[in-house]
This record gives sequence, structure tokens and C-alpha cells, in this order.
Amino acid sequence: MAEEALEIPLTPEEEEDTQEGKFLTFPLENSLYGIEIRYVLEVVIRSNKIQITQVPHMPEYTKGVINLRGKVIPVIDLRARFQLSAREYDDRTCFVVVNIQGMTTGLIVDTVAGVATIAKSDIDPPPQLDTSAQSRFIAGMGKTIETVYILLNVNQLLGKDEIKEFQKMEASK
Amino acid sequence: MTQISEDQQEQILEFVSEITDMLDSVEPTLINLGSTTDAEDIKSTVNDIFRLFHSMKGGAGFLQLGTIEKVTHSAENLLQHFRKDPSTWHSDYLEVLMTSCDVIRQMLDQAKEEFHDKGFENEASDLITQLAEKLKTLTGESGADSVQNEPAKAPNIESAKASANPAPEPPPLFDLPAPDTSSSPPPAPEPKKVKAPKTPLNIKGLESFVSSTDEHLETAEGSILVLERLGGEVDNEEYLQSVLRSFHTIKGNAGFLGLALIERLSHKAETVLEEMKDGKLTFDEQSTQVLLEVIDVLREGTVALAQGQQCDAKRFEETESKLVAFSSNPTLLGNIMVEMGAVKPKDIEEALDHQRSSLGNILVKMGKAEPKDVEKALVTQNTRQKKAPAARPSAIKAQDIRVSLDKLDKLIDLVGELVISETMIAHHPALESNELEDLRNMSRQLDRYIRDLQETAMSMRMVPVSSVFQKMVRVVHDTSRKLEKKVDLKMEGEKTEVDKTLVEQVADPLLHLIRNAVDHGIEMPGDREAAGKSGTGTIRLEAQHVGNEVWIIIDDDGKGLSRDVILGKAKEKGLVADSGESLTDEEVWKLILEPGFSTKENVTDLSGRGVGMDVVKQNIEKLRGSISIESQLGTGSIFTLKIPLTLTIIDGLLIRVADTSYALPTNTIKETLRPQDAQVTKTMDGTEMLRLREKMLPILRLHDLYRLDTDITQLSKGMILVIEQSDQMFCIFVDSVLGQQQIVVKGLPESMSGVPHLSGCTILGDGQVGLILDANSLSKITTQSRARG
Repeated sequence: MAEEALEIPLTPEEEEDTQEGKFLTFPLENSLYGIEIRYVLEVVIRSNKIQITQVPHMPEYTKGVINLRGKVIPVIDLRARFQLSAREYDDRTCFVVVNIQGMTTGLIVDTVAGVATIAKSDIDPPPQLDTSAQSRFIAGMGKTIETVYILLNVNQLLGKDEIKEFQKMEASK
Repeated sequence: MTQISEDQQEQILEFVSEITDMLDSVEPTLINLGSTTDAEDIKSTVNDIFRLFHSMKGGAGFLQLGTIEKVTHSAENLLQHFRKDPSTWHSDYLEVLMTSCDVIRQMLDQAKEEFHDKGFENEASDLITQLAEKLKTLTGESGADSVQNEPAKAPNIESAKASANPAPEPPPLFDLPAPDTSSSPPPAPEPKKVKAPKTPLNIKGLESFVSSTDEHLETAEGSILVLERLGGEVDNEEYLQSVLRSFHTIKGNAGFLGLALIERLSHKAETVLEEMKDGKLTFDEQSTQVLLEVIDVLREGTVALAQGQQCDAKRFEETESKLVAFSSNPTLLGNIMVEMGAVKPKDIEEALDHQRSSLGNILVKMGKAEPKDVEKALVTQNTRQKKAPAARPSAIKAQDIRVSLDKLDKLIDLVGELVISETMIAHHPALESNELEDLRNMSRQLDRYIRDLQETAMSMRMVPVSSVFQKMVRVVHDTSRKLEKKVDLKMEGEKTEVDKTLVEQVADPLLHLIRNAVDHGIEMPGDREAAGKSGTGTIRLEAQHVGNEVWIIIDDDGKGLSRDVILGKAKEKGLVADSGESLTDEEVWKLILEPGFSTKENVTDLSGRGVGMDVVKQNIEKLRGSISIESQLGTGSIFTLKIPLTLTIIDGLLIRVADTSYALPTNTIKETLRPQDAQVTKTMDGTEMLRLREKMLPILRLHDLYRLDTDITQLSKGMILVIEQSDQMFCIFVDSVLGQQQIVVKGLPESMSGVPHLSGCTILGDGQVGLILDANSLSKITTQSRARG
């Protein structure tokens, strides 16, 4: 599945080479975020054709499921995930389809900015001061000449254990 | 062990699945051998088993599964004995053969994962010793089988004997460890594998000859064995024709490629078969042996060719002379002369041809027939010979191929998508315009084709339940033996087809039910007789299609369920609160499906741990099926499993709550209605009950359950679905009912699999995702709330 969705077919080695240090970037509120390209399968612009089906008993940030060309995938609202203020979806809203631990998942973002190349040496560790629960989503801070990207720890986004916890709480209500 | 190539892995997998299938089908017949004394039965079954072991041996040898090869070889030796003399068969030998099957199965299981059969050497050598001992006792008894294990050279001696004796000792048939051509691998590898010879072939024609000959030989072999079973009396022309055709084709191809030995031998075989067809020879045991030997020799020959070696001319000639000797009465002069070495078989053949052609003349000369009658008969003979081959298609040639389930599933998924896309196009508003009449028609036609395609694709997943049923033969056999009961298993409707995955998933529950029937249902022979029943109990296993479901019925004539015992036990376990007097029989029987319920006093290793029945229930419910139980004390019980035919496409009723579409399997819905306020009663704890005719049914509000934000909260504004599941009735309140349609069931994404009361999702006509509700799990909510209240 993953191979099909990639826009440019590349051999695995080439992929490694060209994807190294590249990040898909997008703005949320006042910051820029980046996701390592190798996790990204495709970017789908939200339209009226793609409606989100709400799935009950899921945490707030899991908005539901969509039909991605016959495949049913869950979608996560990153604003909700990072506990930022909510924003109405519009025609610039995008699903960034990523592969997290073998599971295809859509990340809902306001829009996509582009692809940035950030050398390893330009990536700082996540801020130590930040004690909020949100810091686990940060893999590092990527510095370029113009700006700083918050690089995301994709594996934390889905939160399988969190979902289980959540459902346990729901069940006991 | 050297690295195993992918090719080889694939071959091993194919071998394993093929042999497992064969084991599945042969094992039950093997068990039947335990009870039969009919010589014909024994013979045909032994033949089946022999054939299985034989092809196993060949295949295993080719794939370097040495342990399997050794075991099968030993078993084959033992079986060979019974083939020759069915009267020596005794059910004592059953156990060791069954153990062989078991051990082979274990090895196959391992081979499937690890591609070798190492680690079973101990079991194997035990078995081989056992098998050899059994054989020794047998040969000791009869003393006539010293040639049993002697390879290759034996036919020489044998054939001499054969010509002298009108009812000769048949030569060892398949005992073919390489004659004297030393380095060649076992010469009778599993036929199908020959297609991948190790040495590259330079002549393409030869390569295709080898593989096609292989198939023809296989066909011929199958037909010959059928013929043997049928005996001479029955109309066997069809099979003779099939064998004849095979040899004929081989002959033609061999002639084309200049393979003289093969051509000659198949020609001879053809001649013999012609004679049989014309009634000049009868098809008997002896002919089977000879013809099978011909097949073996031809197979050896083609294998040798495939490996770039020469055919073993000596072996060809030996077989040929046997064939010629056989083609006429062995007491005839010609044969004796051949035996003496005075003339060559070829000469005799020629002489016989001559003799035959002048039969008419002789008859005329003797005044027994008119010349014109003879002429007429000759014309008829000619036309018959010409007409017959074309008249009947081969009855035996296999018409199927193996496809991996993954590929099939992928295909079905794609067809599912195709259906959805097509629906979206067909319902596109643009098509409604009047100018597009043509396009609309085309779209309609496309729709028909796609539906057909879908149906065909779905039907490819359908397999008969017989594979599961046949496993039960073994289960009954083992269980009844252990318990010292006598049980007869009768099966009906094994051909009933159900979805492949369903067949697999129904196997476990069935196993439990069958074991239970033997363990708890059928009484000891003494008790049965005392109760005026036959000492042997009967379990009837039946499958049938009923509407969109398949029903599997397990019917035993045992002691039946006892209301008192079950109720007593249920009370003890706290499954019923009061005396249970108010419960109907049906409800009482259902208690045995509860977790932790077991009435058997002593836990045996067969059943009685109190897990069986609730596992059965869970498994069946997982398949969206149900169980019903009927029972009469003293006369038996009937368990009926009702399971939907397929898991991937269901008839669903689409409903809507807030913005979300849900689907429920239609077969759980009794009716839908718009409730009136007067019908609804609200209890103090907030439970709403709907009065529907004589029943009071609890109402489950879906929007409450899932905390959905909907405008429709007043019951009279929405719709009520009356659901019946697991003999419970309750109502679900929804905003609206959208309609009924076939839906393709998909699993929910992994991270959502824990959502309660959902069994999956589906893609609807408009491309949206709909969620499929699990009626069974919903029914439990209402039970719980009732229990609380």
C-alpha cells in the first residue's frame, strides 16, 4: 500500500538517500512543524467528497475515519492532539497521510507549507524546560536560516495506549 | 542444510497443502477400514491410501524431506501387502497407520514453516520399526512375500513366473528405488514436481513433453485405479477411453520426438486397452498391476529424460514383454515360447495381429458366420474405434488450480471497490440529464456486468464443508475409542458450500460439539441396550443452505439434556437466581452455553473443563451466527448452528444518527416502526420500554450510547428498530432509517478495534464510511441493564 501512494517511485536505497533530512512542514497557530518525509505517504486536500465519519468512544483528537480510495483510515486532528484552539475545516485543510508503525493514519492540518531540508547538525534536542505532556510529541527543534521547525515524533501521535486508557475510562462511566 | 531457494520453498508449500488435502480426504476412509470386513472396501481404501503414501514419498524425495520419505516408504511397504491380499487386513494395523498420518502431519506442519522435516527422526524411526514389525508378522504368516522389498530385479523373476501361472503373483508395483542407473534420484518423484527439473533442458519440445506426459500418466493412473475398483462388469468404457487417450497422446508425442522406447511401450499399452474396450480382454487385478507398472516405467523414463539421461531400456523391454504376455492368455503357446526365449515378444505380437485380422475368415470357413456379417461387424468396429475417443470428454482430468487466499481476497476487495465506484458513477447527477440516454444505458449494462463479476468473485471463495466434516470422522473415532463407546457418524450435505474463512472458523466449534455429543450425549453401549436402543450410537452431521445462511446440524441419539441436572448445576454456579421453574426448556438448554458451565462430574481430558460450550457460542457469534438447541430426555439432542454464508458481504439496513451512518445486519432486524408516545413506558431508573403487541421491550438509544449530538431525541420523532439476537428482543432508537443494501464488510482500523458494539465498517454508495453495529454485543447491554433493574 505504502509504495502505491508514493508519488515518485524510487528504489529503497534512493529513497533513503533522498529522504534523509527532509521534512514535510506545516503551520499550526504560530509555529511551524515538520514531519520526516519517510513517514509521509501522501497529502490529500480535504474536500466535500471526503467526509469524516465520527467513531464513538474515541479520544477527542481522533475525529473518526475516512475512505481513502477504498481503504478506511483513522484521522487525527493535530490541533486537538496538541491541545491548540480548534479551527473550522476549510478548503485548505489537508490530510497528511502517514504510516505510523505500519498503520496508515491521516493527520488533519490547516494546510501544508512545503518540504524543508534540515541537516542533522542543525537539529537540537527537545526543550528540557518544557514539562507539559505535549513535549513527548517533539523529536527535536530543526533550525534553518529563516526559522525554527518543531520536528514531530510521529510514533507518539497515534497514542495506542492512550486510546486503550480512554476506552477503559469510557467503559467505566 | 543448504539455503533453500524461493522456488523450492514454493514447491514445498504446494506439496504440503496438496498432501494435507489428500490426508484430509483419505484419513476418514482409513478409519472406516477399522469397521469393515468387505474385501472390496478394503481393497479400494487400501489403494487410496497406498496412492497417497506413494505420491507423498515421491514428492518428499524430490524435495529432500528425507524423514517423510522414509516413513512413507515403510508405510507403503506395509500397505503393499494389503493391496496384494486384502484378506490379511486387520484393524490392528489401523493404529500404526493413523500414527503415521499424524506424524507426517506434524512434519508437514513444520515443513510449512521451516522448509525441512528435521527433528522428527526419533518418531520416524519408531514408526519405521513398528511398520516393519507389522510387516514381518504378516510375511511370517503368509510366507509368500519375500519379494516385497526387493527392488528392481524382482520383476524379472516375477514375470517369468507370471507367464507360467494363469493367476500370477503381481509384481511389486511402485517399489522403484533406482534399478541400476546408480546416481539418479528416486525414480518416481511426485509427478507434479517433475515440471521443474534440475538440469536445464536444451530442447524445449522435450521439456513440454515431460510435463505433459506427466499429466497424462497421472490421468491414466487415476482412471486405472477407478477401473480396478469398478471391476470388469460395470460399464467402464469411459475410463478405459481415458486411459487409452492418455497412452495414445504419449505415443504420438514420443514418436514426434523420436523417443522410440516410450513410443513402443505406450503403443503396446494402447493395444492392450483396445482389446479391453472391444471386450477381448477383461479388466482385472492383473491388468491393473501391469498397466500401473507401465505407467511407472514411463514415468521413470520421462524423469530420466528430464535429467538428461537415457531411459532404462532393459526395464522398458521387461515391462513390454509382460504387457504382451498379458495381452493374450498366458497359457497360450506364444507366451510360453516367449518365456522359453524361442521367439521375441514382437514376433508374437505380429503373429497375434495376423491371427486377429483373420478371425472373420476363420469364422466364415467354419461356417459359423456369413461373410457379409463379418464385413458389417468390421465396419462397426472401425467406426466405433474412431468415434469413441471424441465422444466423451475426460471425466477425471482436474479442472482447478490453486490460488493463494491473499490473491483472492485482494481480488474481492478490488471488486468491492469497483462496485462502490460504479455506484457513484451511476448515481451521478450529471447522468440524469436527458441528452445522456446512451451513457445511462451503458452505465446500466456496466452495472450488470459488475454485479456478475462480484458474484463470481465471491463464489470463488466458496468451498464445500466436507473438509471440516471429514476431520470429524477422526474426532469421533478417537473420542469414542477413548471412552469405549460405539458411535456411528453419518454425514449429509458435505457438498454444501460456504465461505473459505468461515469453514476454517467453524471447525473449532464443530469439534467441541462433536466431542460433547460423544462424551455427554451418547451413552455407554450397555446403558444404551438397557434403554432399548442399539448399542451403537449415531451422530448425524448435516449441512444445508437455508436462505442466506448455512445450517450445520449435529444430531445425536444419546441420552438428551436433563432439565433438572442443568438447572441444579446452574443454581450451584449462580447462573440462575431462583429455582428456574419459569424458564422454558429452550432457555434451560441455553444455560449450557454459559461460561463455566459443565455438568460432567469428572473432568476428562476430552471435555468437561467447562470451556467447550461457551467457546462454541463465542466463535459462532463472532461469525454473526447463532446456536439453537433441541433436546428430548432419553432420545437425544440436536444442536443447530446457523451461520451467514459469507462474512464479507451482508444485507444491511442503513440507519442514521446525527451525521453518522450505521448499518445493522438485516437478518437481526424483526421490524422497524415509528413509536407512539402511548407505547412507551419509562421506569424509575430511566429505562424506557416499548410495548409491542404482547411484549415489553427495552429501548436502547444509540445517541445516548455513543453520546452523539442529535436533534432527534423524542422517540416519536425518530425510528425504532426491533432487534432479535440470541433469542433476545430489544429496540434501538435511531434518527432515521436510510434503506437496505448489500454492504461489503471491512475491518475497522487497528487503533479503533476496541470501540464497543461495532463489528466493522463499510464504504457506502456515496463514498462515506458507515459503521456496522454488532447486534449481539448490543443485546448484552439490555440484558445487563435488566439484570440491574
